[in-house]
Amino acid sequence: MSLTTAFQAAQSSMAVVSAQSNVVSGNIAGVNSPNYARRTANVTTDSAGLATVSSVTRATDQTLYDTMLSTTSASSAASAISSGLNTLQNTVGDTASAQSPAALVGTLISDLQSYVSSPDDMNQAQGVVTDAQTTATALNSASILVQTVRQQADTDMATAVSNINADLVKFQQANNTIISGGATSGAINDAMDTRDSILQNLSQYMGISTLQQSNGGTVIYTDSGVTLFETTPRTVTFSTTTPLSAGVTGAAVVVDGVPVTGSGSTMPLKSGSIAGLAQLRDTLAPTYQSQLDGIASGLISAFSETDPSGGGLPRQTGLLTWSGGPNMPSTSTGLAASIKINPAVDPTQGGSLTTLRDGGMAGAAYNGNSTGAASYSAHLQSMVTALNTAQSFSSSSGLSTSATVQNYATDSVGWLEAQRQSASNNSTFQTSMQTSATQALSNTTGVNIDTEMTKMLSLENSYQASAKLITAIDSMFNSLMGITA
Amino acid sequence: MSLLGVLDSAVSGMTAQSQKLTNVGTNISNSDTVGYKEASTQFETLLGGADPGGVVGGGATIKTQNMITGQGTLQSTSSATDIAVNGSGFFIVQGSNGANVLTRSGSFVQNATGDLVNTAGYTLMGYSLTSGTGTSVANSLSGLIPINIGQGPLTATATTTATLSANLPSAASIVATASLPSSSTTTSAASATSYTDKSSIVAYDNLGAPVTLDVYTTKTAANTWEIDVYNQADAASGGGFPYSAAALNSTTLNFNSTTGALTSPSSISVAIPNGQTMTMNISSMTQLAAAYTPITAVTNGNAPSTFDHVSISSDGTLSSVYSNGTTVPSYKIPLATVSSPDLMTPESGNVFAPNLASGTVLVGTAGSAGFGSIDSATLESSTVDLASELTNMIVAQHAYQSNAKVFQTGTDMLDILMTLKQQ
Repeated sequence: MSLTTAFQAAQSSMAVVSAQSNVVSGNIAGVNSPNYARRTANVTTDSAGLATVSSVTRATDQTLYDTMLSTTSASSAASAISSGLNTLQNTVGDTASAQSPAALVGTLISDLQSYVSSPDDMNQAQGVVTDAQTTATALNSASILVQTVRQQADTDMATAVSNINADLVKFQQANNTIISGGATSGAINDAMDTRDSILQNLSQYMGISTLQQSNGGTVIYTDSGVTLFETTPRTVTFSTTTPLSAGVTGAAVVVDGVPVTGSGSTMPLKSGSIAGLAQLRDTLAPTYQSQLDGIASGLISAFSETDPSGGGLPRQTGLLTWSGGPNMPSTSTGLAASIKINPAVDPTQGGSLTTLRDGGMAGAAYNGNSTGAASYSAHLQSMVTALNTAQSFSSSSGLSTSATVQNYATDSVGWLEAQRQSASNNSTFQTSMQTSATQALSNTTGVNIDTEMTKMLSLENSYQASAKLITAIDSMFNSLMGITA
Repeated sequence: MSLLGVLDSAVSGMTAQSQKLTNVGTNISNSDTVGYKEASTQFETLLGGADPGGVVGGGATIKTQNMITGQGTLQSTSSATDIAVNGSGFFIVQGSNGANVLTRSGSFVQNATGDLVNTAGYTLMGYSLTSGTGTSVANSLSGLIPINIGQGPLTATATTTATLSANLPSAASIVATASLPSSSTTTSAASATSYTDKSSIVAYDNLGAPVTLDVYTTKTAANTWEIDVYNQADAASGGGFPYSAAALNSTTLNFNSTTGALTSPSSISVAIPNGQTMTMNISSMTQLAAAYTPITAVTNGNAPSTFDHVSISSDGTLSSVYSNGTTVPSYKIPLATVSSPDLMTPESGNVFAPNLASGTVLVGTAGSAGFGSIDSATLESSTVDLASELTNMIVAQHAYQSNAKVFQTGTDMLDILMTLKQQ
C-alpha cells in the first residue's frame, strides 16, 4: 500500500464518517415521527482498503409490521362496533332506568292491572293511557335512535371509502418512487416511510394484506383477497342510503367490482372499521330494531279489540295502534317507529277514556259494555290476560320466538347489554393487542436516541483518527520534500 | 576503452536519467488523472564492444514500461454514469477521428446529443439491447454504436406475459353450471352469475393504455375450477356482471386431489383488446384448505412514460428508468482486453490503442471469465503513488549527479592530456 493510497483511505474514511453522521442526525430528527424507521449506513471496503457508504438501509420487520396492520384493522372493527352499541345502550338504558322500553312496558302492565280492580276510576284509566303514550313515544325514539346509529355508520363508511380512495392515489406515487429507484436512496427510504404510513391508515378502514413484487412494488389486497392496489389503484365505491328505516338494507362497499360487505358478498371483509360499521349497520342495529318492532307488535296485539258479540268482525287495534290502524299490522317491521296511542281513547285528541274499559275504539260494534256499567272489567281482563300470555315473535330478532311482551322487552335489554359488554371487552383486548404490536414494531425499527448518541460519539472519534492520519501522511510527504530540496 | 568513451557513457547516462525524470514528471502531473496508468522507467545497457577480458565501454538507454494492467483505487462519486472497471478489461470508446480505442477513464457525462462522453472527449460505445440481445463480435471493436441516453420519445410496451398465482379455497361451495361466469351472457342479470373469488391485474395494450383484467375463479366441481378473464372496461356499471363483451378467456382448471397442485393447464392465453396476446402463467395455483390468498400478480409492459434516469448494473447493462418506475435495458457496455495490455500504445486522453505487439482484441461481457465487473458511480483513480515518484526523482537526481561527475572527471583527464603538449 502506497502513501497516496493511504491518503485516499484517510479521505474516504472522512467521507464515510460524514455520510454516517448525516444518517445519524436524520435518525435523531425522526425520533418523534411515528412512521420513521431507523436508517443504517452500510459501509463496505474495496480491495484497496477504501471505505464507501454503499447504501442506506431502512430498518424493517415485515412480520411485526403485518401484525401491526392486522391488529390495527381488528381494533378498528371492534371499536366501531363498541362505540355504536354504546350509543344505543346509553340512550336506551337498562331495565332499572325508567326510560327503557322494558321498564315502561312494566309500568304500563302494572297500572293496567290495578285499573282492572277499579274499572270505574277514570283517573286510573287516564294513568294507563298516559303510560301507553309514554311507552309508544319511547319506542318511537328508540327506533329513531337505531336509525341514527345506522345512518351514522353509513356516513362513516362513506367517509372511510373516500379516504381509502385518496390514500390509494397517494400510495401509487410512493409506490412508483420506490419502483423507479428514485434519484437517491434517501428518496426511496422516504417513500417507504410514506408507503408504510398509508398502509397503516388503510388498515384502519379495512383489513389488508400486502404482497411484495420483484421490482420493489407492493400489491395490496383486502383481507378477503380482493385486489385493492396493483400497479394502479382499484376503485372503491359506496353510496349512502337515506333514510335507513327499518327493513331497508344499506348499500354494500364495492372494491374492484366485488361487494365486500353485506349478505350478498362472497368475499366479505374480516376486519377494519368498514367491516365493523357494516356489521353494526347490517346486523346488530337491525336485530335490535327488530326487537323493538317485536315489542311494539306485541303491545298492539295484546291491546287489540275483537268483536264482543263473537260475530265476524275483524280484529282491530286498541289502546295502541300504528300508522296503518285500525287494521292489525301484517308484519312487525317498522312498528316501533309508527306505534302510537289510539286517538279514540286519548281525551286530548277528542277520544273517550271509557273506550279503554268498554272497548269500542274501533267503532261502537266493538263496545262490550253497551249498558255503560261502571264495574265492567271483562275487556280489561282480556287485555291483562293477553299481556301475560306468550306471543310469537320474529326469529330475526335473535331472541326467544315465544314470550310475553314483558319478558321479550326484558330479554331485549339483556341482549343489548350482552352485545355491548362483549364488544367493549373485544375492543379493549384488540386495542391492547394493537398497542403491544405497535410497541414491538417501534422497538425493532424505531429510533433509540441513546444508541444514536453513542454512534455519534464513536463517529467523532473515527473522524479525529482519520484527520490524525492525514496529518501523519502530510508530515511524511514533507520529509520527502525536505530531502529533494 | 578510450577516454572519449567515458564521456559518451556519462552523456548516455545523463540522457537516460533526464528521460526517467520526464516519466516521473508525467506521472506526478497525472497523479490525479482518472484512469491514468503509471509509466515506469526501465534501464538497459548499451555496450560498445565485446572484447572478452577487455574493458568494454558502454552506456545506458531506457525503455518506458506503461503499467496498464495496474488497478487503480476505486473512489465513489455521486453520478451513475461515472463507471470504473473493477478487475481486468477496458471500456471501448471512440475518438473524434472515428477510431475505436480502449480506456479505463470512465468519467462519462451526457453531451448535447445524449451520447456519453468522457472528460477526454471520447464517446462510450456499446450494443443496443432494444431489439434483442445485441450482436457482439468477439474479436473486433466493430459493430458497436455510441451509447445514447438522450431524452428519447415516450415509450410504451405492450404486455405479453403475466404470472398469477393464488390459493383457491378447497372448501368453497360449488357454483351451479347455470350461474357460472362462463354461462353468463351480455344480457344476464347481475345476480344470475356467481363466482368464488375475484382478482384483477393491470396489463397494457399496444399503445400503452392500461387494461384492467378481471380474473374470476369459480369452483365448478370437486378439484375443478374455472378461470374467466374479462376486460374490466366491459363490466356493468359499478363493476361485475354482466359484461358487455364475452370473456377474453375461459378455461377449466384441474387440481390434484392429493397435493392440491394444479394439474392442467399451466398457462392460459389472453388476447388483450388492442394489444398483444398475453401468456398468463398460472402454474403455481393451488387448491388447499385455506382462504383465497393471492401470491403473485405480475405483468410485463408499461404505460407511456418519460425517461427519468439511467442505471448501470455490474454486468454493464445500461437501463433506462422511466418515471413510472419501469426499467428497460437499453444498452450493453462491453469490456475489451488484449493478450498483453501493457504493450498497447498509450495515446492522449488516457486511451490505449491495440497494436501488433499487444495482440488482438477480445470483446466480452463484464463479469464473465477474464473480465472484471463494472462499478457504477465509481471512478478509478490514477495508479501513480506520489511518494514512490518523489523517491524515484531523488534517485534519478543522484544518478544524474554521478554521471555528471564521471563526465567532469573525464574532461579533467582530457585537460591534463592537453596540457602535456604545451609543457
